[in-house]
Amino acid sequence: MQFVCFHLMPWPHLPADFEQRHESAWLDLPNSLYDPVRGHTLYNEYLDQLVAAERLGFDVIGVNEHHQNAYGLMPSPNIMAASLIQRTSRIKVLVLGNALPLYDHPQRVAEELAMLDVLSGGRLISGMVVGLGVEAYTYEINPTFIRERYREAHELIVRAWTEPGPFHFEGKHYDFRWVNVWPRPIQRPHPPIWIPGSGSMETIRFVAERRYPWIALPYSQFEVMKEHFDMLREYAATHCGYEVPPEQIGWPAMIYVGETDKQAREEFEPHFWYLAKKGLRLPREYMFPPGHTSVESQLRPSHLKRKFISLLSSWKEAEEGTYAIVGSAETVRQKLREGFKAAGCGILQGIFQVGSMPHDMTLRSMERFARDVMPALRAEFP
Amino acid sequence: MEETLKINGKAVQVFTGGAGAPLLYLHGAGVYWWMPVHDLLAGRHRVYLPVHPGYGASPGIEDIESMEDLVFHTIDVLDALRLERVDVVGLSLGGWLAAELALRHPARVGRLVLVDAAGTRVPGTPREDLFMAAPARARQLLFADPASALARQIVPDAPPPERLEAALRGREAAARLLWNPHVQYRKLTSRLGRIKAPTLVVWGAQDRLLPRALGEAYQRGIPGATLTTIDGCGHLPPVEQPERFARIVLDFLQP
Repeated sequence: MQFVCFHLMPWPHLPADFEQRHESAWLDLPNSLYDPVRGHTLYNEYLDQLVAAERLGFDVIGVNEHHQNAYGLMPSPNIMAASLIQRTSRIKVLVLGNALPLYDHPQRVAEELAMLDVLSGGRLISGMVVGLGVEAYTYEINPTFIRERYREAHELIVRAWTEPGPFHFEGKHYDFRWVNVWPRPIQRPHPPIWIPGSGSMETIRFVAERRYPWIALPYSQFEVMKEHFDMLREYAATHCGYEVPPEQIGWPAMIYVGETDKQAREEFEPHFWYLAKKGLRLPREYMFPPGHTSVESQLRPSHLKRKFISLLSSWKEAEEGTYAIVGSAETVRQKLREGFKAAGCGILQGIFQVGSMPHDMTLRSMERFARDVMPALRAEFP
Repeated sequence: MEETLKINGKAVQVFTGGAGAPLLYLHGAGVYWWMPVHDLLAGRHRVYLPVHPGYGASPGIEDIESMEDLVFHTIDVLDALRLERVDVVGLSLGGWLAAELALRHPARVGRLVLVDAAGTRVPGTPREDLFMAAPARARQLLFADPASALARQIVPDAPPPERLEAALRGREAAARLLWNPHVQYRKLTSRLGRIKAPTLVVWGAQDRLLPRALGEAYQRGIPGATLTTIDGCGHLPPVEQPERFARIVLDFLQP
């Protein structure tokens, strides 16, 4: 099992009446609500949490990419990764960006990731993401071309990392006569690639064919996520002729470890609702611009039965759907153990800081996890 | 009547009706079927309503990457229908297409009617975004009376299951040409002087999606064009005010 400490770096200071005043925490949320002075403190606390994860024995620390929102403050995950690389020495650094279709110059992505790999001495794990639907608005990228651009940019980057340059890349969306990345990445043949996805058939086929680890999105019922893992296993078995190993399956989970079950829930719950009701306040039309998710995927039963976290109305519902793993160390151990078995996963992408959770509370939960949960699970799931 | 043409190996759904001088109706991004207004127009004309690729029963969105592709496609449709020269009515996206057709292929277009047409750009004039709009907001943008049964029928809160797939595909086809640049093309406005066809611009007075200023840009740019506004009407005059709209169009197209 690879234990990932993953961070979204949310903006935790949305006003109490935010929901009454704003339809969305994304795209058109006025940036006057962001305070750069508080933001300075926040960035440093968040980075400290990820740096602490190395000392606590995690295998990977991870950052992600989102734009124009209060949910995650990392429009450029590569900058955060560069900072983390300077402050750590052993741990792998997962960049669960870059949102390839948003960029007209995938060569720049190839260059920056190669820089990070060289700078870290080969500790980079590169995500490659499609980007959320709402992010098609951010850079005015036609969502009906997003999947094509994603595939082309991915191919260009992998070839730029692995083939001797210069060469000419001739695509429909990208046509570069001089692909020649300086520096080249240090890992051979190239840094590992992990792909997050919401369970669309397009992404499942894509990762199955390339044997990339696939990380689900954390905001629906565990059961829906598990169905997507099963779809990946089934597609790989029937169309690609192999059995998906656990290392190829990543379970993203919000985790909070308290002293007791009762205390854990009391401490965690307000921050969970901050995330669900504020950070992820996102109208359907923003989330699903035409073409971003194929019609085929949108018509699939699991898409229709998914209940997005922002639609939950009670903690009971959240608990029944396993939207978060919360409790004493013993409870968290037990829930994760069951989840590992059901999901058949070999990667746990833990999200410890959730919503408005303050620095000290986050660190205490991470420490309890590292001391009282992780070692036992490592022994059980090597 | 509905028929299916085969053009370059691909099916194109075409609705036709009536008798008289031919009239090509180029539909917009949301309503791509025969409606009562077409019966009114068909009282005096042979009306052709070809369904653009990606909508309804016309496949082929993968070949449409820009307005230029849709112009070429529409010329192919005219050839297949043996329409050498035809009067053209275009609504919204179809209005932009009609204007492009008239300036690129002047010999094929007789008279031109542009209805709440996309395409023009007037700096400082806001263009609302229909893709971002939830159904209730979409009805406000599209209809003078957003609470009407008609508005709810055209833009339901949730498409009925049997229309869901077509609605999703239609949205994709719309986004293909209207996303970026968003519902307009910078160079079009400066090219309008090339249009030779006698032109009528029709605009719904309560069009909250594409403001009247965009219609005035068509009227100013096209030599000799006139602009008529319909009160009590939003972005879709053929849908919301079919009788008044048909009368205005038929009067303009009188021989």
